[in-house]
Amino acid sequence: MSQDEIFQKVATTLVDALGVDEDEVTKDATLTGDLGAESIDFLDIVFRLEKNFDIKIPRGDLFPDEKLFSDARFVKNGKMTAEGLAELRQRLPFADIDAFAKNPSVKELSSLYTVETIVKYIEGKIR
Amino acid sequence: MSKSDRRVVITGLGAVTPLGTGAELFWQNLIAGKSGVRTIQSFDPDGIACPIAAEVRDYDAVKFVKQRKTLKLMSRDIQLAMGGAFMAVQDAGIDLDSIDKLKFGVNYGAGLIATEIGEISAAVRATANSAKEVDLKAWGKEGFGHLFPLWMLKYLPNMPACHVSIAYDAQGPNNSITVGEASSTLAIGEAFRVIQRGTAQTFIAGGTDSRIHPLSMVRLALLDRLTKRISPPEAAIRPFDHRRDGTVPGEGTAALFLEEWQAARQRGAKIYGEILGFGSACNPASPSDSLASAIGTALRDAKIQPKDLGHISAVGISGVQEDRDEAIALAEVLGSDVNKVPITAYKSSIGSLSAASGAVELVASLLAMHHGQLPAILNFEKQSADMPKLRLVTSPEECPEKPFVSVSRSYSGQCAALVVGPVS
Amino acid sequence: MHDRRVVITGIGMITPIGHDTKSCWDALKRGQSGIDYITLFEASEFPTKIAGEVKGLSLKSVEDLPGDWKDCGRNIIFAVHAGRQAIKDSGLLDSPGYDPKRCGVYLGAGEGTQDFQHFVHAIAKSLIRGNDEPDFPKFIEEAMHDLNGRMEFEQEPGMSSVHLARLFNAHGPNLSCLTACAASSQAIGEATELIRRGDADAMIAGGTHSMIHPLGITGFNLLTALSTQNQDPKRASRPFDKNRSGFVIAEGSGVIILEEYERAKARGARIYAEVTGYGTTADAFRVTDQHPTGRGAITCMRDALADAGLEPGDIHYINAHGTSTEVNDRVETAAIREVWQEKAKQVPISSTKSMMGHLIAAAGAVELITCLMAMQENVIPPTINYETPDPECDLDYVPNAAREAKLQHVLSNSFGFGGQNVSLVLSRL
Repeated sequence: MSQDEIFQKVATTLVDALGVDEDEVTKDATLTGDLGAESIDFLDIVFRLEKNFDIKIPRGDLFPDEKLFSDARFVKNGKMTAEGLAELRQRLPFADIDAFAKNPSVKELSSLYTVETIVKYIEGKIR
Repeated sequence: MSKSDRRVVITGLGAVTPLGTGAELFWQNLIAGKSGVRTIQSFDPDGIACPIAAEVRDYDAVKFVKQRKTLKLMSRDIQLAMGGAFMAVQDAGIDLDSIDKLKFGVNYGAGLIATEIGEISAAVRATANSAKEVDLKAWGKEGFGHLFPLWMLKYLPNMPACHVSIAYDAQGPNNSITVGEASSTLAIGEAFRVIQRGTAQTFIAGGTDSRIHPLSMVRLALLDRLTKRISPPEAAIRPFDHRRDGTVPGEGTAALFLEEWQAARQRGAKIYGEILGFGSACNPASPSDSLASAIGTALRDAKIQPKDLGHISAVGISGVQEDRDEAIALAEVLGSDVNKVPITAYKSSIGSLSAASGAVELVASLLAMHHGQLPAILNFEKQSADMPKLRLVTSPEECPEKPFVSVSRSYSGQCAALVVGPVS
Repeated sequence: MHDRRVVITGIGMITPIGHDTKSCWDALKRGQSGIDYITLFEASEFPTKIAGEVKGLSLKSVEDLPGDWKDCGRNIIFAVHAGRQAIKDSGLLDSPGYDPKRCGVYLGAGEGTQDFQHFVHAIAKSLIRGNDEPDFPKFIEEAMHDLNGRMEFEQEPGMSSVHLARLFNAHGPNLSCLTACAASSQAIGEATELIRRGDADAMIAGGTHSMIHPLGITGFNLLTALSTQNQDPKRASRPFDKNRSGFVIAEGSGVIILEEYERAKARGARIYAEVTGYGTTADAFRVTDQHPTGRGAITCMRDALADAGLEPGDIHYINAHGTSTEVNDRVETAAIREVWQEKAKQVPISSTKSMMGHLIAAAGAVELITCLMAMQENVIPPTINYETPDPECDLDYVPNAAREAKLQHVLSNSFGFGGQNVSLVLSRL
């Protein structure tokens, strides 16, 4: 499956899960900020990706458990620590942690998840 | 009525019914004597002795749900509710930004929502053994992966009121009454009380239900509540008639926009009517006592005598025993006025909308008062001899602009009545 | 002050830690957990294998009462069991001049347990097309054959309140609401208002629920709302603790008798406390997420205090909603901090869900009864399993051991999935 085909399928998944228009689903659209995802939607997105790509996504694999962000080793004063960023890099190799590291505020974490992030994750899964 | 009670008026109506979407279309079809009962279209009902129902056929939820993605969280019942609420708010013509959202409540009558079979069938197929029994170990291991993760949220009875509160930012009291066929009358009655006591100023109150689902229909059939007189479908349900033999299920919703009277007056709102009284009762051993007690309480609460009534909207569910119990109760309450007060029963046109019945029927009566015409009981030949004689509306007649009573009763015996009248 | 004051004259409960008020209360004071492995169905392969079940309950506990109980679900049996305790405790029915029409019922009651095996069996048999599309006529045929109509009917959530009306001769207003986890508190609040207004003189109020069944656990598991700390059931429910990881579901019922004060006094009833405050709001935010500021919770606690004519500093104990989920406990803490301001750290707060688990629709009622017992004995039940403080939850949660304290006014919170919030204030007379 080419990257473009993956993108198309991810886009369809997000259109169905988030009730957005196809043209809103651009590569750099963020799930929470631009596409309006809320906590329960992430469960739905995982479920639909599993079905549409015929893959298994273990819990916490694509979207990390919230616990990670309340762990004092990883978060101090609302910002991810160096240790936290390392943990993120290890857990989410498909995400652009470098960009996030410029302002590693937990509140900005949602910006980590763009449509492209999902595409990269899927690429890693099906290759 | 306690001295400090605020007055409560109805300033907006919204309805989605087997006779059409929108209160006005519903009214036109109702007064024209049309029936919403037909052969079931939404699934193949073969195998049920009563394959007829009053389905809503012209409704598109997408038009009424602003946040499109929430549609995936909505069963039929919830989707219907969104339309009714939307139209009630529109009809009220109110600028919602101008009201205190903390004093804006929602109260819905809702039912036990049956899960869509197609939604769990993949999990069942993946985990059933050769005897077609589901092995719970397999269900735990493999079933979950086949289930929509937000599945449960579609079926919780408090979700109609929840989604309505989110759509209109209604942060005041929010309740969901689950008392079968009496639910929405109780919900509207409670909303009335909450505004009376000043806890809220504005409410969206109503009910929603759809029992047109294979499991819900099986449940009704097993309890022998459905009519066997299925042909022609529109003649099946016949409240108080000597040939009645059971009910026909339907689906729908209605919402009332309620406001504290002064606030409505100040903004120059059009007022459909004022809620004057509310009563409820339940003596499972004596349905007629319970009904009479609920109606009597509502009349006393409204300080209205039976002779002052313009009409009564009866439960009239078309059950052999249920209609007889009701006739006894109505005769008792009306006393010497029994041959004067016209009684109608909208279920003859739209079936039993279960938890939505009371709200939809109240909308019908408000529009009857508003238009000055009272719809007839369809399919009525003659009243059965086993019950007291009532003054039943057998062809459309003039509807005086006077207070009326809207009555609801659940199969298990909970009764509720509202008295509503023109605002004075 | 309201013209007609409402007092509580009878209580009854059945929970995972006891079949009556006394045994539940003794367990609460000891800090005993009622959570264990699920036995009601085969849950060994479910993500969550633990719950707070009512153990050792049989139809025998109600079979001396008139009625046919075999088709009733656990929710109804629980309500009847708790209801008769409360009725007996109050002596209401034996009081001279008792008028059935002036006594009603208002429950926050859950639906009955669905007949899972027969239902899915009918679905399995309907899958005759080689795909996941059910054949409805086949489903109907199977369901008509296998399902028991009476049992299906008894699943309607409004049935428990009908049974109580019938058994206890209460023919006044009869309601049942289902606002998820706030339901029984809302029922008690609205029942209080019915008496205040004069629509009734007495109300049987409370809640009942059991969602410990395959579809119930499946639904909550799919939403990842339940704790999956299966290795140590008694430590799984840990409200406000840093390592909390979801709620633990439980079942049971709590029922109280509410009466108009002057009548209760005139008949010499034992009065537990007065319901002085009731607040109810909606978050109107999202379907499951609480508003991050806790705006609905804040307003509802303030409304309840205002209704009681009290200041935050007058409250001697808060029975928290405290579900042991990441979000609730953080948001509830923030809301209490906002309402109590600098006094927030002085008010003892506990979550008895740490011991009883979360009884969903019945939670508010059993927790209110807990508050009444706390006021009776001037003992605050603890939050057990509190081991690791969470910087976001920095108040006094009465960790792990009951505490003596003079209790004049207490407040109980219940917040529902779907955004409904209720706070009730109880005051000693």
